[in-house]
Amino acid sequence: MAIQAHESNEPEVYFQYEDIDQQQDTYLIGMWAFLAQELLFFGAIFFIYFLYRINYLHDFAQLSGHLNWQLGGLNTAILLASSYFVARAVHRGQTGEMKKQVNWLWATVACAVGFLVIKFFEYKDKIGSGLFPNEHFAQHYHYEANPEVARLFYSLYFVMTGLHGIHVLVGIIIFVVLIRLIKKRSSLITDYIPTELCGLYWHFVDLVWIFLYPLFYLIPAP
Amino acid sequence: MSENEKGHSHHITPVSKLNWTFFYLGCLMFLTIASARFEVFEFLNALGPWGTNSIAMAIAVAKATFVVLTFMGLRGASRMSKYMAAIGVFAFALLGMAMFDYSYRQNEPVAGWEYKGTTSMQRNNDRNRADDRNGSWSRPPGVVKKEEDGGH
Amino acid sequence: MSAAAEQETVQEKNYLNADHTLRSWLTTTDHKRIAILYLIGVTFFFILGGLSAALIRLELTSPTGWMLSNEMFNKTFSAHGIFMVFFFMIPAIPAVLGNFLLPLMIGARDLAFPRLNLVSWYLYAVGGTLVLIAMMMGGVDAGWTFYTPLSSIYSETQISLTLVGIFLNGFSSIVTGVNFIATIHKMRAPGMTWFRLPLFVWAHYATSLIMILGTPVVAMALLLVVLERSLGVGIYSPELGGDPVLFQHLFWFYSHPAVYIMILPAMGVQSELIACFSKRKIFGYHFVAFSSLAIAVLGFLVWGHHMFISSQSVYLSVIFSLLSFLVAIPSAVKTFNWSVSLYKGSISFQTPMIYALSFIGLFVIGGITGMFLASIRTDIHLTGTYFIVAHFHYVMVGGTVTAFMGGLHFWWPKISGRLYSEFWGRISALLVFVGFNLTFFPQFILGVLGMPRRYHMYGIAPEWLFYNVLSTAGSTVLGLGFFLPMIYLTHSYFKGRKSTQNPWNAKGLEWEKAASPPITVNFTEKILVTEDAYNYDAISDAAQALRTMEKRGQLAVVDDEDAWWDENSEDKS
Repeated sequence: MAIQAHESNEPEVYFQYEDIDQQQDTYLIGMWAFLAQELLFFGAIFFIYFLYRINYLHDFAQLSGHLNWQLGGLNTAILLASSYFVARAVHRGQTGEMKKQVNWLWATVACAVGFLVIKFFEYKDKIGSGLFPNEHFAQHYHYEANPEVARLFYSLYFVMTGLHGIHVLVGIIIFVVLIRLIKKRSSLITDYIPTELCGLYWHFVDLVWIFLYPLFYLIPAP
Repeated sequence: MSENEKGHSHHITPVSKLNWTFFYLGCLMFLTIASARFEVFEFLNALGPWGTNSIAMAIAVAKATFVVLTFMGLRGASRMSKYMAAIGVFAFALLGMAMFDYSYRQNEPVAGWEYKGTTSMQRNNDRNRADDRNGSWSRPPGVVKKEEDGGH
Repeated sequence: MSAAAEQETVQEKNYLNADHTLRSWLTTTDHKRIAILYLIGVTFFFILGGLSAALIRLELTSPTGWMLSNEMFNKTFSAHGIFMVFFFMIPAIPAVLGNFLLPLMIGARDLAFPRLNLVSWYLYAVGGTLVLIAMMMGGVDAGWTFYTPLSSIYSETQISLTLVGIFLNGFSSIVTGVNFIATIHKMRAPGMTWFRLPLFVWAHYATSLIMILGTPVVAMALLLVVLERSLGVGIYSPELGGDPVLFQHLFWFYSHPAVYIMILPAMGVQSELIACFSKRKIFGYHFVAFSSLAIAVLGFLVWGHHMFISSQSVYLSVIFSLLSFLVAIPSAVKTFNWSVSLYKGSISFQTPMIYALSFIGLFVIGGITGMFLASIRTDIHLTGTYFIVAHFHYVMVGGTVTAFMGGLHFWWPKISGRLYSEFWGRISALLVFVGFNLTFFPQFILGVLGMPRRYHMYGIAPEWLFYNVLSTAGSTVLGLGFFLPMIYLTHSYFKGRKSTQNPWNAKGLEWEKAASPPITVNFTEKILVTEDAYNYDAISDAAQALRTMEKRGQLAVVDDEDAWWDENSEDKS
């Protein structure tokens, strides 16, 4: 099934491409190449996580109990839903209903903001109990697990969820800009590819959280 | 443009498929939480220290597969996109080589090269093992209890 | 394009004179202009890196450390490494020559994502500026490798700012990699199949794979050091049960492949030069092409050979040692194939060819000494000595920089539309070769004698003075060899003779179809590729046939060639 053109104007083919098919394929390959590098970027810290997890199996299990798995689960649900909304938006784009993407995209942005708000309260709770892993960590630490490993665990927790949170924030900015461009009928948006590219990025952000959630929140108690 | 990658028609995933995928994802999410946090599944903890977490990881992989294949449309994507995704996963797997280092470090006998003392990593390992036996986690930081067998 | 057709091919309008304002340069999306911007950037950092190298060499002319303090010496070699590796060597060939030539070689009007290409230059520029600021604020003393816990806990220099600059520079290289991969996959002109691609393009494809798969890992590794310094999180901190050696794993997971980011494009340039100046098809095209990919893949499997004397498991060291030896195979395939390509070619010793031939010699020395270092026992003795320094300079300077200079001279008529002085070109190429060997060969000896790298006093062994003075003397010659091209290339850019479209009689779309300098959209016509790369054999086959006929006495001696051609050219065509 070939892609329909934008209702009002044909998709623009940039000067370096021969036709629209080549252009769209190229953009998708570029995005997947970018996602491959994102995978390695997060892959490095996941590797670190597994290394320390294996080394400090029991401490990690104890420490996981400190995290609020209900809030984490809620965030998982929110991100899954947002991923679904983006997929629907891309579908609208593919069938050529450019304007109708906007509602799905707003829904995505709402989910992303919701995610960050919940994350904010989680962080606030942890930092409020003195669990931010800087040099003052041990002063406030009164739980059962080894305090040094606890600081390591919270380092990983804050770095990994923090980087993921930054990606969510970037996602929000990208989507808001995209919505504005679609509404203004910008010449940059003449086919579904921009939505698809932003969507691919957003799905990747979702993927990272799919793994972060069980790895931090759902470790069974020792 | 070149003839060996002919322009293909772009695949559109139908809405029904998106809906079903979303439904499956929801179910899998519920299953993850249930297996890890509901008492019904507590018997799974007999699987060892990774216990239910390995199940949760398997479910996460399943979820990721759904998202990648359907939401991201990799199933209908061009061969080149699939290939880019594959080499990303492949390179990530290569990083795992470093894991060998940590599984074998200091365990190998090397003639004339006897390591004296302990690294902090080993120290913590030793302490964890000791704590396992004593059932206590309350040792203050910096106090190291050495085990006789060196922890190997 | 025959050389006889010496027409004035400099177009009225080309990419250089399309617009003259500074703004037009800084907002350009033309891959050729961005390549020029990169050329300015890498030259700037090359000069800075070269000056810090000069300081190091001067300091070592005395065993007592007569000029710099300990701390200052640490900062100097750190600056040298950071400038040269991250801001000169990694972008040099891909971002300058690759940017300029990839679209021209595959018959495209531009790279796939021109705006992204500009973004990559700005990331490079901003990253470079941050590092410069850090250097002005006092510099860093942890070397270009930033090993923890020195960099994360003990060093009190401008580590964080420098790392942020390198982080941005890393993303510039990722963006370039993404751009190249999409371009090579999708932008090839009709008829340009994978096996008709010039080997330069194959090499850049392999390079781009490393860029997108390796760089993010080191970005994360460095980011964690920055976070450890600024926020106090402790991933590498031994106090928390973290492992400082983990940083080395992550760092070398990128930085060993990064060595191939530097050398693979150089090998691509090398293939072009050898083919053109011996007028021969590259022997074993498929082997050379796939050896690039093999190097890229194997490059990811050998990082542990940098860590033989860390606490790395000996079992793993054995595996890494074995895999490191394997890298020699594709490298040797390339070297042998270049050498065989010269066989029975009509070799002309133009400036680029002198660079190309010195590349083969120097790279072989660098590669063979790499074999010494891949074997664990030898490495344990030699690591951390000047032997290492000499080894990687033979590969990096003798390989990459030599190829970069050769490529720059080769494509200079295409880039600038002007011819440089061949006389000065040959002089400088010879100076580089002689000066290089004089600088770095004594360092092999110093290394075997046991002189440690990164030390600036060697009062304990004054007999090392002789080799150090030799090395410093050589570096002066080397410096002159690099300084001359800056003068005469700049001069030729403004005052040089205008070049024809194809001054070397080279094959390849960039020579045969594009003007010198090219117009903004590269080609005036639609490109259709109908022949393999390096189809010089038509020329060399004819020469071969003539030689055979001569041997057999079938060749008549013709007094008046023109008359002979007039009589016989009809049935020839």
